Amino acid sequence: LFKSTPRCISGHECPFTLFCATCGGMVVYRDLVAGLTELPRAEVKLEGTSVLLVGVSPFAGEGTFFCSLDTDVKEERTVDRLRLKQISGGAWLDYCRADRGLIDSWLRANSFFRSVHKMVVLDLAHPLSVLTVLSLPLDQSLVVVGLAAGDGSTPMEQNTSHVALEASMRRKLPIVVASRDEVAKMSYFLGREGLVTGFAAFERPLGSMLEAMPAMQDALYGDARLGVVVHRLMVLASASDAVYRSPSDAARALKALTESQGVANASSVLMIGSAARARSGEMKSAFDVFLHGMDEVVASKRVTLSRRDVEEVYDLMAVLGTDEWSSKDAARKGYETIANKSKELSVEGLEALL
Amino acid sequence: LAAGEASSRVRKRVDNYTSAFVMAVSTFAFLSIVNFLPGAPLLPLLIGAGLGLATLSRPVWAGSVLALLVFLSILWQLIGFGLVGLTNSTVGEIAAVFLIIFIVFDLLSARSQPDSMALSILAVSLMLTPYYYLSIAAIVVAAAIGGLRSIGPVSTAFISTLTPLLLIENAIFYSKAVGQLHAPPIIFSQLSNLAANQVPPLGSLNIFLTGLGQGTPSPYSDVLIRFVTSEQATVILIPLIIIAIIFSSSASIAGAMGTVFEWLTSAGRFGEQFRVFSALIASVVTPLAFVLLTVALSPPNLGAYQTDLVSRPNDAALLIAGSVVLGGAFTGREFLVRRLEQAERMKVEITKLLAKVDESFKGLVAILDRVTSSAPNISVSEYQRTMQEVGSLVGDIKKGVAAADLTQLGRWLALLRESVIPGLGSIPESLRIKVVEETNALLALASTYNSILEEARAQGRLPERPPFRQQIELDDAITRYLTIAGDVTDSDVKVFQEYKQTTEAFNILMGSQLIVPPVDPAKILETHDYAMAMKLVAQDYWLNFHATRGDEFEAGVLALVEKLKKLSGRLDPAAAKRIVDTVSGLVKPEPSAAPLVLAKVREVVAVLQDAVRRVRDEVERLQGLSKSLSPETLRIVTFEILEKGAVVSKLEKKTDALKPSLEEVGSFADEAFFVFGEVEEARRKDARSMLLLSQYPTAAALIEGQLREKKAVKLSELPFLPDASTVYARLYASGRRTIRYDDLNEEVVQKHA
Repeated sequence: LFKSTPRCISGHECPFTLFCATCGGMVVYRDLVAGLTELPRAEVKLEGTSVLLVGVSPFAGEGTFFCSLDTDVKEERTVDRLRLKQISGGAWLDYCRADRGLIDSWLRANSFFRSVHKMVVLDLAHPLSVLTVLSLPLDQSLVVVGLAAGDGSTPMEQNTSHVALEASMRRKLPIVVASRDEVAKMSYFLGREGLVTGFAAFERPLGSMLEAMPAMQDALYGDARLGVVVHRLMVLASASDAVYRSPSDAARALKALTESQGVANASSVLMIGSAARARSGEMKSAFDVFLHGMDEVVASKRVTLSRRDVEEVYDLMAVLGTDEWSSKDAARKGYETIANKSKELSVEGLEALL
Repeated sequence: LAAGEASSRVRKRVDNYTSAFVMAVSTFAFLSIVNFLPGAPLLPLLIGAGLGLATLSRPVWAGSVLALLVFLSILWQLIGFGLVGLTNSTVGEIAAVFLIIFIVFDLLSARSQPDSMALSILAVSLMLTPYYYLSIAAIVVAAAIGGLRSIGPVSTAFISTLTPLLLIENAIFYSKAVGQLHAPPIIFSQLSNLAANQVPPLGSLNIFLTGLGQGTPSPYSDVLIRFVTSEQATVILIPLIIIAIIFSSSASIAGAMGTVFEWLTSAGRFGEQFRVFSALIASVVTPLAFVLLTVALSPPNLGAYQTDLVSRPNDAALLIAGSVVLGGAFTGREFLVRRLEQAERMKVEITKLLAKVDESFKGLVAILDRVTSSAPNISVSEYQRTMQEVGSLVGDIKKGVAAADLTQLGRWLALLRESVIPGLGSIPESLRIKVVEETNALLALASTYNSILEEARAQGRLPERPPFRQQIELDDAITRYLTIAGDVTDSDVKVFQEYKQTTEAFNILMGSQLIVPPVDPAKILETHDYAMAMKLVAQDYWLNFHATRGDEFEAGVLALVEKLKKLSGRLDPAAAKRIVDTVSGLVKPEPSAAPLVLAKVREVVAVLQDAVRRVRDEVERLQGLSKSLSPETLRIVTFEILEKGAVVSKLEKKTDALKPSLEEVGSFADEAFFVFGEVEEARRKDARSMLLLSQYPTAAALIEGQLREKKAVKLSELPFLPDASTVYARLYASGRRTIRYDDLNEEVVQKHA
């Protein structure tokens, strides 16, 4: 509050007392009061990276601002949380009609867009996913990661997930898609903490993507210029020397896995490796192995992140740009089931909102 | 009473008794010698006794009665010798009237001084006896009693009273001495002619029965008429004047002597006692002067009068001797008076001093009460003893002062002046010095015990201030003492509380039974024994604790530190850092640091509890993970840490009941070191299983993908290590009826293929 410490009439620095402990003289506060008239300058320190979570749990991220969007019985709006009033029996379309513009104004109010890097992690099957995609600006510093509905999701979830992806594509908003089914099966070895599974295991690859944000933005918006909006995320987490002979073998496994998911014809690839610093050479070889034979790839990037916990363990991720997503979308069946019954809950319904 | 008042009272009393005696004797002598009242000596004796007693209370009244009796007696004698006949001639009438007026006036004026009158009447009485010369001694007595101021009245009264009798004596003398008309008149001799021819007294007091006189008329009943009318009476006029002058002069010499003596003693040239002898000296000088002058002036060619002092030289010697005897008696009386006065003065002085002592007592009692009530440890017994002794002495003096003799009074007076009062007066100063010394002693002790506390490494300190050197009043000294004592009390209690906390911590650490220190210094402080309380806390408790328990404490703490450092190698880095940081300062632990060590040990216990809980959580998490796996999976992939659940739970229970004693925590650290070692080993082994499992979804997806295209997948075609491929193949086959693992060919095969 005060800019300097008070002094007594003899000039001794004193604590906030009436009389000086050194000379017994009276402590003079007049000069301090004058300093009170100057208002302190307001300085807002924003985190370098902001993450909006829609229908997913928060995860660890140093120096990152997290805010979440969801529905609840009662509407609530704080700096880091927006709860839209739950609409009974409401689908994505109802929220789009009711709350259009709310998300954008909230994100501007909490300075989400003022961070250098922005990431949105959303469950595409969530009723607010379409509204979120429609509300987000086309910002090159924004990376959207979506968890797409799979075979294990309900038709309505599949409908929502598919429409959200279609919205993203129609708005030319780059999006990285991971399968909810794959995430559910994912497991991750954390050294002393042991093995974690499901979304807890997926947090680590998300953390790696946060670390590689500049490369992600560059890759995604570069692809967008080429008309590739949707990217498939393939993750080989907690690969180790106890399982693979080398990272190159792990890359072969990832590639085989990718091919088995029908994402072989990628037009762009962003490789993110996370390993001990000493293994950067092996990671480079692994990237080469993964990219070998991918003749249709027009752009590729490689990022190696340093992992500190267990030396023998490493992660490999591939962000694959593809324009064939819609036909291979596992959620398409459920989408059509709903769309056939309700024309509004279809891509045509979406078009009315665009 | 003032000393002067006391002195005059004693003297007045003695003078009163003397006057009463003189009055009685004079009355008795005069009425016995000069005929008037009947029944001598009984009646004169009774009247004398009565007037003597009356003098004690009503001296003027008694003097008036005596004057009346003397007047009547002389008048009786004058009438008997023809006073009435004088009225027949003019000269006689004038002489008679003059004579009566002269006597009446003289007696009326003299009655205001009864002593002088009585003595002059006694002297007149003696003139009719062979002891006439003692009349001068009576005058000396008058001078001795009344001093100079009484000389005039005595002389006047003596001459005036004697003159009628002298007139009768000479009238008879000249009537008998026919043919000796030129003989000198009798002036200072025994009035033998009168004595032998006195008019008889009244027949009885009842004059209405017996009448005024009885018997034949005296042959001298007309001598007075003849003596006066023949003008022969004038021969006694000049000698009378001369003898009056001699008389006055002699008496004046006695008075002057007294004045000189008084002046000499007042001027300090002689002692006070010297004044006592003024009466004795006057009793020599006065009669000697009288005799010399009377004799010297008696020759026919000079004074021309008769005196027996010439004819009977022995009378002169007896006159002087008698005077000396009386003077000596009165000197003795003066001695007695002065002695009584001195005793009285001493009593008054003693009374004043006792009042002063009482006043000092009240002040001292108040001071001692304040000291004893506020600072009971300051011993005032010596002062109380002194005051008791003084009180006892004062009591004795008060009881005995009335009856004490001069020696005793003097001793008491000296005691009061030289010992008691100075002694009482010195008590406040002595007490003040004692309080200041006690305060400084308290501070010195506090400083000493602070050194001991420092040696014992105690945190608390007793008040440390410089000793008081400046001069301060008793009240200020007491106030300062109380302030210091209060500070000592507070700090001693605080240091004791610190000791209690430290020993409690020590006992907890050493696993000893909690023992309350046997003596609480607060109890001692209640008795104001500050020295004992400080010694108890600093020396008996702290120093003893430090000296006797140091080695075992240091050994115990250092042993625990070693065990914890060893254990920290098996803890997670954060917990290990916390443990190492916590115990890093325990290089040379001392008993006084027991609370700090206890706090650190408790923190260590908390860290260990956290570490054990984390291991337990890990075990539980793995147990949860194992539950999510199929039994077939668990047959293929084993987790050793699951077997450590029991031992970890047991360890966790121990942490919940873990007491922060060095031994208990040490033994727990040993056990934790062993258990954590086992867990670490299990974790290390399980890490491989977990890494294998983490890749199983990928492996399953790969195998599934390949099996879509072909009927069998060789393990060698998989990108995994052989062991891992085998495990994945087994796992994949275990949950599927249509798939089997061909161990021999090392391939995953579709059964219906």
